[in-house]
Amino acid sequence: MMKFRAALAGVLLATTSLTPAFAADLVIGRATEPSAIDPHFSRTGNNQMTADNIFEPLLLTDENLQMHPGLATEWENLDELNWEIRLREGVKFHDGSDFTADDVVFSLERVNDIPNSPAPFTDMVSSIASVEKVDDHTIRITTHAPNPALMEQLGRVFIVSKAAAEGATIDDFNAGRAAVGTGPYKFVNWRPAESLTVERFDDYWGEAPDYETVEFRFISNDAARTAALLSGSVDLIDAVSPSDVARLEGTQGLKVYGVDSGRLVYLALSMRDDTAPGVVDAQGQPIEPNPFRDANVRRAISHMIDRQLIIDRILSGAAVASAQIVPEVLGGHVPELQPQPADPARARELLAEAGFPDGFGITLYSSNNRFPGDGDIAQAMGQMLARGGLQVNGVVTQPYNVYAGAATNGEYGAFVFSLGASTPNAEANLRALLQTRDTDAGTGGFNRMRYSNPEFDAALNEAVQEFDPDLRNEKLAEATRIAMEDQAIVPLYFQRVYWASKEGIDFTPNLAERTVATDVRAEN
Amino acid sequence: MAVLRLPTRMGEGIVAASINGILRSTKATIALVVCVMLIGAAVFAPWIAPQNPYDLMQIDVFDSRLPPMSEGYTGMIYVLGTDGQGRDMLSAMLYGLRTSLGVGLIAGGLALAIGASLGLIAAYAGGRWDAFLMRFVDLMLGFPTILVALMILAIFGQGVWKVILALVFVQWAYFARAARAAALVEVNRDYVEAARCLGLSHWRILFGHLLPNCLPPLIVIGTIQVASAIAAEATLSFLGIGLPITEPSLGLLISNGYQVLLAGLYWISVFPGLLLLLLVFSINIVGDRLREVLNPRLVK
Repeated sequence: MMKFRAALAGVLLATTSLTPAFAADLVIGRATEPSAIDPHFSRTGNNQMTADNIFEPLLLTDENLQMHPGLATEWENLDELNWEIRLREGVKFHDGSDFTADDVVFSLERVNDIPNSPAPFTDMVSSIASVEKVDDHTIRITTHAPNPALMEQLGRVFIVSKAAAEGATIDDFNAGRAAVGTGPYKFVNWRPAESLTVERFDDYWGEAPDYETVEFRFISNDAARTAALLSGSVDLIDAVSPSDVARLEGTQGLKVYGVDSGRLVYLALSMRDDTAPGVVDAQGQPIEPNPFRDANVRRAISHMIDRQLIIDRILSGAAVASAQIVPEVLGGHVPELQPQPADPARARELLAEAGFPDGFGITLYSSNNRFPGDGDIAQAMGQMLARGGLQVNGVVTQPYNVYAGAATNGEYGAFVFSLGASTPNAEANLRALLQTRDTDAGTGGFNRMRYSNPEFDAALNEAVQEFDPDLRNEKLAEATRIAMEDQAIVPLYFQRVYWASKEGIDFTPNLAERTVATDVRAEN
Repeated sequence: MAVLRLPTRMGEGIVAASINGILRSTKATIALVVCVMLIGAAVFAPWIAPQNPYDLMQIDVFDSRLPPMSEGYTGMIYVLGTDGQGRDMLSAMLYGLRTSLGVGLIAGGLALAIGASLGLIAAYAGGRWDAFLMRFVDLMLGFPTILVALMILAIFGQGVWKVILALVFVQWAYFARAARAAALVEVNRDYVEAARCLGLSHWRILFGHLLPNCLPPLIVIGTIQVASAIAAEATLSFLGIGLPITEPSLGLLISNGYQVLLAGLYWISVFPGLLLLLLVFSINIVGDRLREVLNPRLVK
């Protein structure tokens, strides 16, 4: 009988959750949705900004990507290899249990055992040789090699409750059973492709959020998201399409927030296999060896692209052209690497040098809902590549959740992707994007094109072992120079990102493009 | 020996009667003229369009989102403006019309062939075959068209032929039901009995004698279904699962423009929308008139 009642209650609960029983205090229209609730499943922005509501990492990142004490309060280098980290006391998990060193040790180890992760956190812990608990609120970490950036890396790993997450599957997180964090909001429910609801956690150690319940609605269509704000069905939207900014700014009762982000949009040219998908000769046969393994081919393609034209025409000016990995405000930027105007003549010379005087056939791939204009810029680049001497056989665009997985699996030859900056300098992005991929060492997690250059790897390794911050930035810039001389990727631009909200709300825009409930405050 | 004249060749009669019937109605005449002009525009699109919107060499993002009557940097006048890629809207619409009409006609034709054959067989065979086929048709008609088409495209992926396949799959049942209803009346007529007595094969009776006499309702439904196939293709493309983005049909053009409609760039969405409206509307008017003309009850 009890079982039956429990089952009935479950059914009732499941049906009531299909219709919103209450109106949330704050409704946020988000362009992307998470692929999972498990905070360690994927390091992509759509998952991280979801986890940021429910879970917390050791360090908190502010709107300018500077890091501050979070669950870790202080840390100290005992020597070059050994660190001692003090953890915050009096912190509770959502289930009421205490946050202790055991949860941290468990979380740091857990990131290495996430099956099928499309973008693992392994880079963040790859330098760790061992983690040990000293007492309930102290841990000691030993690294393989001197790693000055240890806290910047570790500081990003979300801490889960050991009791709830041990042995939990991805479904346990998605259903909320294992989604137990220390964050300002508790998980209520997630309906994929529809919404995520969270509720204020009253025992949160930090500043209490202004809103009791928050609903995130996933509205991938730009126009639909704008319309939802205009109609008043949501209070705040993110990833506002640049073409809608003027209209929203001119609408009474609405506010627009904008910031030059560290998000680099780039064209990746896959060197991973002997042939690149979509790269064919005049007869439609795959070309072997893979032309993208020749730096001259990669340089030629970069010369074909008129970045400013894409920015002016497709993005309504909402971007800054780029020839490198990080923007000026971050460490490791190379001042003399400036984006060049398109030079189709030089592109043809380089193609001829590479043995393709008549070009080759190419298919471009892109997502169509990840960032403003992503489908359109792929088409526009198609035009530019065609004028530069290649035969563009197609431009294929897909929804991001399908696209990202296929790109990670190597199904695309030339594909548009983006990488947000979430650290104070270029190190994390250089390691993830360009370092030789090594799953065991946890490097090259986002190196989908499998660029590999020992000279670059050595330069980067030298940089990451430098304890002096200024010298480190100089060495990061040196590593960047090597990779860009090689045209490891074809950088396109840094995106300007916008949010818009009703009046009465104050949102803090950030370089990391997060849309997190705690960044929204009620205006008084 | 008396020659038994079987009413086998009704085709010419139907065409003549249809055209006469349409010409007697001003409204239908105008709709027919519009249809013929649109089909002509679609067929001759490569010759009359100012540019080839599928050729990436001919379009330039430099000319993107220009309002109607703007002059591009090459001096070309964009009568209906350009889309986000700098495609001439007029050319894109002519080519889009070609795609939309082609998909609609091929899908409608295939659905007609498959559906009518099964409907005739059901009526002619009767009994269990009839019951089985018609219950299956009922089942098919029970599913929402777009939902089934979405599922098919989700399974097989994108592409022109896959869209056609999806449309045929959701439309054949209408023809099957209409063909069966018409054939049930005809099956008991004397000429069918006569043909049987002559020892003609089943196939010859079915397609040589029964089919021509069942054509009038099929033509009417066929016309209406071509219009609905065009609208369905536009819906699928609008939802982003139809045709490739570099070769937009009317539905995809509307979808592209919809993204920037709120920003005031009305022409990218509105003009293809009007063209689609005109196309579907005029085919439907012609179809309605054909129903009046070819309906035996009204004629007699």
